Amino acid sequence: MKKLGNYFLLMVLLCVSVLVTSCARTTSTESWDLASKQIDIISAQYSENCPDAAKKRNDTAIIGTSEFNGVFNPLYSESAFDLNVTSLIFDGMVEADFDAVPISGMADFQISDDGLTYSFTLKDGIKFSDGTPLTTKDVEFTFYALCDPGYDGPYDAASIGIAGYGEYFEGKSERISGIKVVDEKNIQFTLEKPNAQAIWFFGVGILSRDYYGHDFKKGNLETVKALHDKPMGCGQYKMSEYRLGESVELSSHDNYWKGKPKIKNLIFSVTPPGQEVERVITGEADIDFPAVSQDTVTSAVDAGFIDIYRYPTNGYGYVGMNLNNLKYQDKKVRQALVYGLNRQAVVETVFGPYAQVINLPQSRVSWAYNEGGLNQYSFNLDKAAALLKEAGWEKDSSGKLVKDGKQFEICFSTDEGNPITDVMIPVMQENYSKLGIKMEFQYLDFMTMVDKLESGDLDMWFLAWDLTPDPDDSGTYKTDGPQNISHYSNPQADLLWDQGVKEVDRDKRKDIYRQVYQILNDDIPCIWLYQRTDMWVVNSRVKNFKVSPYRNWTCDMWQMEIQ
Amino acid sequence: MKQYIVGRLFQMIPVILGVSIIIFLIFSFVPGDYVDSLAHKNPKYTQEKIGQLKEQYGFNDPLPKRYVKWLGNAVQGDLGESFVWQRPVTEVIKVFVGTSFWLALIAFLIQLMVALPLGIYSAVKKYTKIDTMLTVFSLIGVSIPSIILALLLKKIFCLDLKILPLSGIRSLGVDLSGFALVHDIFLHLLLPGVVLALVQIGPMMRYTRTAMLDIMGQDYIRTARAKGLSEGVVINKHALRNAMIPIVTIVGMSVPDLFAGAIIVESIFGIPGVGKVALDAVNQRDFPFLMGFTMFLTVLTLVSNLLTDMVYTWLDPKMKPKGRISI
Repeated sequence: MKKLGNYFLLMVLLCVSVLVTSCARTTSTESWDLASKQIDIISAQYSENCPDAAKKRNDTAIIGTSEFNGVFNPLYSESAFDLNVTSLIFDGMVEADFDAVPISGMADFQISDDGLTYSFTLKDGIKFSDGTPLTTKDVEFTFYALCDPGYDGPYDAASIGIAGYGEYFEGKSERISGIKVVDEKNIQFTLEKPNAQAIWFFGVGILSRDYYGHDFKKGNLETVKALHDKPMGCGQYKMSEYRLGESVELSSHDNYWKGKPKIKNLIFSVTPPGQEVERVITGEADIDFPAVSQDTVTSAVDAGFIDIYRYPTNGYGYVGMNLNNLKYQDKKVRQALVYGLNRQAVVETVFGPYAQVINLPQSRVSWAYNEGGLNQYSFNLDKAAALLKEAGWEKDSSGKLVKDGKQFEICFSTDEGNPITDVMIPVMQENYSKLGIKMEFQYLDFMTMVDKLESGDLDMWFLAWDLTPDPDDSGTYKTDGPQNISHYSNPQADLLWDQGVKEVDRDKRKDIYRQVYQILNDDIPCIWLYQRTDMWVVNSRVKNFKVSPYRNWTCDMWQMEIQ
Repeated sequence: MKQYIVGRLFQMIPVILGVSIIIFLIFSFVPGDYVDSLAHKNPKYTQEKIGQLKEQYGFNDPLPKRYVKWLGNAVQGDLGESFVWQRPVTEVIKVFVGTSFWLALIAFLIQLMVALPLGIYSAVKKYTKIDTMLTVFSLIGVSIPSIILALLLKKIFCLDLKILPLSGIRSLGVDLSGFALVHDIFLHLLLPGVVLALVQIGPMMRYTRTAMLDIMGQDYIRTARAKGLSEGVVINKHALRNAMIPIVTIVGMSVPDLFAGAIIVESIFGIPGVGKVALDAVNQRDFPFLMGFTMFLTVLTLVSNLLTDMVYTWLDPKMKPKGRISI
């Protein structure tokens, strides 16, 4: 879940967009089709417009980023900004391809038929950027660090279920039985039960034991944490300078195992919010990541020398309901609330053509996405009223929607200045009041909202979820799942989630998730709103930029070149 | 005098302690903590993991225990480790406050150099056309939000005229040293400095004008004129020195602001200053950093008050402390 914006940011964006539109020519933006393909590219028409400021840097590319936290360690990086840098410095044994399929990275891998044993064979000739060769000792060290009782980063080794993890964590054993070094090139991991998410866990960037773990003792990761701003790995680049909160400078790792990177220096530097496109236009940056809107797209197209890469965001926005509240327990009521809300109008007003209404919690470019047999819940107040009537809610003489003498009341919470709810609240107010529902709205600080969600104090709210490359979303939709803040429960879906994560065969998994989505689409655990799009703007002097919702552009950085 | 300063320094200790308790309490009543803020960004966090992290960070300890632990370390100069930045709070403060300080200093100098002379001038020429114009100018300066001003100046100087850089504090990807580097950094800080200053110039000009007008109506100014002193001496020596007392108060009070950072200007110009860092720290509940930073500002405020008081005694020897100290 991430915060979608705050009042201040919105103000900046608004002001910037006013300035931008005032000087931009009108360009027709072709209707973009992201239903049938993953990524939409608009290529630059006038590369010669490239500003001199950018032309001067012939061996350096500058990448704009919104901020840094300076945690450049694959085990600890939390923010997407830090992760971009980290992924250039470290490589893992497994990578995601453009379609979210796990492919071999620094190691070839094999998964046993029962889905319990993962065998990795390191590829030949891989070296860390300090010149030492990569061995299974380094891999072993990395995973011992992840399983350490003192580890406090984002990975959750417990949920992967490596055999012997529990004993090690609790101090009953000094070794993890499920991690077995065969020889210098081969290492094996054993799981307690099959887990389709595990392969991504094994893709974590590998740390050098000599560099990070010379004094490593169980329970004490201080030596690892002390090196957050001096990272060293097998990746495409190595760090040359880091200015706290300002910029990161990288230089190429000439012994990189896939090939020497073609661009010698990379600089990540902070872009003020809302000025991503302007920075590329003035030549201060070559690559940046603006929010998608009519204004940003238009000004990037007008500049002439900017390539635009747009793709569906790996996440979605939704309206959640606390299903522990009696009034939401009837699924007809929940369905009525979807029919009764003009989602299309909200999404179009906020995002223009750059987002789509969704009816299932999955990205339309995921291999598991399947719209077959799903209800589209197009806006229909009559249908909503009929469903409410079936559930026992009827309008009384004064137009109030009542059941057993009590009016249907909704208390909707959101964080202040959220650009989506600013548009949605009036629509919701109008739509639902026509059904006779009494709406109340409260604005909360984002963290207060999160706190109240946990204690179950919120009735209805707006938030967004991120999606993972793997379609298993049981954490959010399974009974008592750790992120199931709606308290949704359906035993039939629970069974399917369990089957899905154990199944190794992709076609069979696909069918399982098709069934899950049908159940969810009928049950309406929450009101799904939209999937929006992300976009990278790239100065066309930088060639071979490749990106997908699942494969970060940094993975193929070594192939990019400056012309 | 020495005794007075030492006394004042000792008086600061209970004030600092009191402030730290209040701030600690306020932060502990704020809903949510750092682990919550992480967990709600990342669907991978399980309940067990959240519990384990909270235990590791000591969020489950009783409040007095946490405070005593913090205080014990703080006395030894250890303000703890920032959650977000994963490094000592003192280091984070040093880096970001440094940048904010240089920006604020440029703004501060521009502000003094413009506001004081104009304020004095407008008092001397009171109720003339120039005075009215300056009044209008200062009102405009006060009323324009810095965010609008910043974006407007950026559009003119960075996007249209292309003579100033758009963001950051230095040019990247080019090797600069010596004078070229200073020049480069100056160009980057010029616009943000002007924006910060323009907002402050208005009020300071008004204060100066009022203080001067007040003094110029005094009997001793009339006496000075009556005994035939030149107008220059009357204004500069007799009036200005006395008018400085309220002005010094205002300037002294604004010193901590130099270190507090300017959230809006820093964000719009992409300057890695402490203002934005502090705002993010609130949003992500990075309490060690917030505690450390607030305490830093507390000490700074107390010290600058002391310095202001010392400047008073220089401006007006009558104010020199005698005997026992009182606050």
